[in-house]
Amino acid sequence: MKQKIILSLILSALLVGAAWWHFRPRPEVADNAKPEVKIGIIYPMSGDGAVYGEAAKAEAEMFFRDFNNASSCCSYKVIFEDNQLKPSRNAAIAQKLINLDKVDVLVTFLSDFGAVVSPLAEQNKVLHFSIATDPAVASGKYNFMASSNVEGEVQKLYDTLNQNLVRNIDVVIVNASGPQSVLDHLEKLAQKEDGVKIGRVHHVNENEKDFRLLLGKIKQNNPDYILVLLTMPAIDAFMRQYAESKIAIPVTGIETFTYLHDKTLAEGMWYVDSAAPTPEFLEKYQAQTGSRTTNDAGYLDLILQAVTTGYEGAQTTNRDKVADYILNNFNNAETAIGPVQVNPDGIIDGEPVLKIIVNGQIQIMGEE
Amino acid sequence: MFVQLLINTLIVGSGYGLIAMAFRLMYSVSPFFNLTLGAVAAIGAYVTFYLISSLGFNPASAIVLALAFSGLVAWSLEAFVYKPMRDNGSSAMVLLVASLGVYTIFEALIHLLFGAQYQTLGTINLSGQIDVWFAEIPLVQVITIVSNALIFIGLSWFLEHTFLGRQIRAVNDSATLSHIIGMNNSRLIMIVSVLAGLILGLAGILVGYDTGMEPTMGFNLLFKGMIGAIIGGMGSLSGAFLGAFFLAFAENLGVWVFASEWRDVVAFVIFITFLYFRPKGIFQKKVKN
Amino acid sequence: MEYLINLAILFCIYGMLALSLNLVVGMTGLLSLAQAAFYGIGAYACAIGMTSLGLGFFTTVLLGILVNGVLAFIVGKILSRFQGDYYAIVSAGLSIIVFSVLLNWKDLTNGPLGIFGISKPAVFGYQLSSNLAYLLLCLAAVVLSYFFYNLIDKSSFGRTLKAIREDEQLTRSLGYNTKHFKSIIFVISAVMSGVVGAMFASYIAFIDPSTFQLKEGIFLFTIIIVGGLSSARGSIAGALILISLPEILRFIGLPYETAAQLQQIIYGGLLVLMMVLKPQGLFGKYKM
Repeated sequence: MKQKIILSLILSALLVGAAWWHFRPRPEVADNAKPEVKIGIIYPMSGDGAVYGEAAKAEAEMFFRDFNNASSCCSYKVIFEDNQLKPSRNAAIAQKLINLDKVDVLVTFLSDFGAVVSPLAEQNKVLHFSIATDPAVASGKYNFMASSNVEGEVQKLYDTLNQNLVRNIDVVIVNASGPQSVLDHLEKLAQKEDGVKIGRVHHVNENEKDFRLLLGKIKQNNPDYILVLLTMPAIDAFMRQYAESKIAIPVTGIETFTYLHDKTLAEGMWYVDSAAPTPEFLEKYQAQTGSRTTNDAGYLDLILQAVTTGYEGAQTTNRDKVADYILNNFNNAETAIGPVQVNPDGIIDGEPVLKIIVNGQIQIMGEE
Repeated sequence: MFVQLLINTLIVGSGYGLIAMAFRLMYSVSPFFNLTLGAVAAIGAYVTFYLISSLGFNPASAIVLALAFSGLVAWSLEAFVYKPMRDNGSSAMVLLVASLGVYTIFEALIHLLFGAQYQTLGTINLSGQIDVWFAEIPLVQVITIVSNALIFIGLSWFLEHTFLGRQIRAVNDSATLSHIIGMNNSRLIMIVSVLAGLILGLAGILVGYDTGMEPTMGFNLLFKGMIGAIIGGMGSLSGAFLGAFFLAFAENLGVWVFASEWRDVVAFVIFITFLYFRPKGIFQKKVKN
Repeated sequence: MEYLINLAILFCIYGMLALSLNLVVGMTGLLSLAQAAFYGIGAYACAIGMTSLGLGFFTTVLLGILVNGVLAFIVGKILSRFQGDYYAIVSAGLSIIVFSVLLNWKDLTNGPLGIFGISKPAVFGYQLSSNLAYLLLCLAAVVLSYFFYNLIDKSSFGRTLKAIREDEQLTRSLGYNTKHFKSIIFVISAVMSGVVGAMFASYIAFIDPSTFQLKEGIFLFTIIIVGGLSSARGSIAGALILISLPEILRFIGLPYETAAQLQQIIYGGLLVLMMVLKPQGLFGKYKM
């Protein structure tokens, strides 16, 4: 009994202490002339997605180091939070950011996570930018999406395959939201148009490492091309086993080879990628942070550019007006991923691009 | 193609076989579903990785050291955690839950030390393929198949023909009785757990070379090995050996007929069906319980 | 304030899940790791019902009860063949099977993309749109569950369950159809989790299969092991402790990667500690 009491007391003390620490009265920050704009950025900062979170953090720091002094309207503050790659945690964190930290802008990463936040953002009239592919994430006035332009990617792949006189393809796809939305678009397109057709679709789970039988099945089916929509870590295992199987059928992908750990496994292969960080951006990132970036750091840069453009342009902290400004004035802006389009729904995307692996490096086709 | 199916069964089944035999071996002296055995396999892989990449050891010595370490970990866990708990009266269920806790800790530690990124031990010295009849099988897998077979033969001989082996079988049949007779149980347990640890470490390293490793690899490996051992029949080593192949065959048949994504479902459905209808396994042996 | 409301709703959800699991594990001694499966099915019943079929929240709850009831009946029968640790392993397998179905049966569940836009329930025509209102609903549900648990605990039905837990053969020899009892409590527990699943789905407004993996079932199991087996107080206590833990760690301000793994290490450590020192849990009444 005594044990229980002591334990409960310790626990209550911890809880009370934590609550006090968070709600403690803080001295008023000296008033600058500039109003503060708070940006809450939710990323996986630990676990499987940590590499994206780290890149995002580096990117945000880099962006505002350059920007803060040049701003005429506001002083920007960035708050990073870790969602541990769980949608339910994302919702909880968004609540905290909106209600406790009183952010003006939320940034989320991936459709599953953006989806949870969009209704909250709309409800609370908080600007929300998501690096996602599902249009539902951008629904509502305050919700925006920086998209990899799935539709554009799929169209480019389709056109390229048709140009190469490919008649049918087999698809290897992992059960995850990104690849799934690519496949949905592709199936619709293939049905509508009269070009390349989809043969068999082979679904695998995220933890799959053994593709040998699957490759045997594909060999039997004998399509003209194999479209691989896998992510890390499956893609490395697949490409290795593909090489071992000595199948003569060529392989391509959408965003796929960007995820390859060992890019020489895709030597000489072409694929479609989303609008990618421009060489200028890559150089700047490399110089300032000393490491290579992830693709979506470029998208984050674009979002931060959009946000600051909105505030600077509207010269107000009224989020309604900022949203309007972005919708009306960001079209054709030059960003870290090149020129972007903004559609009335708040979807911002760039042009997809054909890439090829040369000497283990990704290169944009036509620029080798 | 059916040949493809058989070859893949051979490859996958050998991988499962190593884990199944280690599990079976361990179970004979420490009868509960020990989830930390999966962590031991992961440790084997990650220690090798650490030695080669961070400390610059050459692969051969790295592997030997990693194996030794795995054996050590397996033994320490048994000697300092599970045996004392069992002696204190903890039931198999309690031990299962405790092993779950220990496994979680190990997985988190590996995650902290090595990151969540998928790593591979690389194909530096184990690349290349071997032509076997009508197919080409990568070297790593040939090693897996051969190790599995050798270990099976070796262990079987050991259990059958050495004094120590007979003691292990005796403990398996009745722990209390053997204790009464006066066999030195703790020495036995040490030898068996080190042995199991070595095999598990080896399995982890082979997987690390073949398909790569992640902090969560232990759980799945163990489950598959456990299923193989159980459906083969908990009474004997050959049960574990053959059960692993049977599981691999069923899984791959499922992949062939349906799709890869149903692989785990097939494995578990087979598992549960077997347990339901033939709880003593395919190769039933008269085990006094 | 909203933040605390949000946290409180999570307490309620996990508290109810813990209570439902304790009926099976603590009171009846069946080591089930399959709870996440029924939780998930209840959530999906609500999600699919409200988005594709246009049903009201409470109707989908009934739908979930129906589906879970049938499934739990079948699963319970299968599981009843096994004892002790075998029960645990098989239930884990069943959890993995249900998760795979939720993930791969894309036509039904939309697979990994999940289901969006699940709205909040309408009680007697009044739409519960604020989180505070939803919290009140959840609190009411927790209180109901708590009393329900104690009702069973003190009833003769509950006494029989505990007798089965202590010595099934003996109970059977006294003339009780133990298989029957085990089956009933398993279904009740599953149905309860399903209802909680619906509440979860409606609250988060978006669900995907990743929430309902074996990991979640293991987490629920950890809650009752730590809080206490066969005790309503224990279930609630365990939920409070394990849900506050990540929040506390966050306030301390550790680097992200370390905090998440430290959380895991603490969970694992708690399990081991409990098994070694106090296998019945903090407020528990049953030693495994």
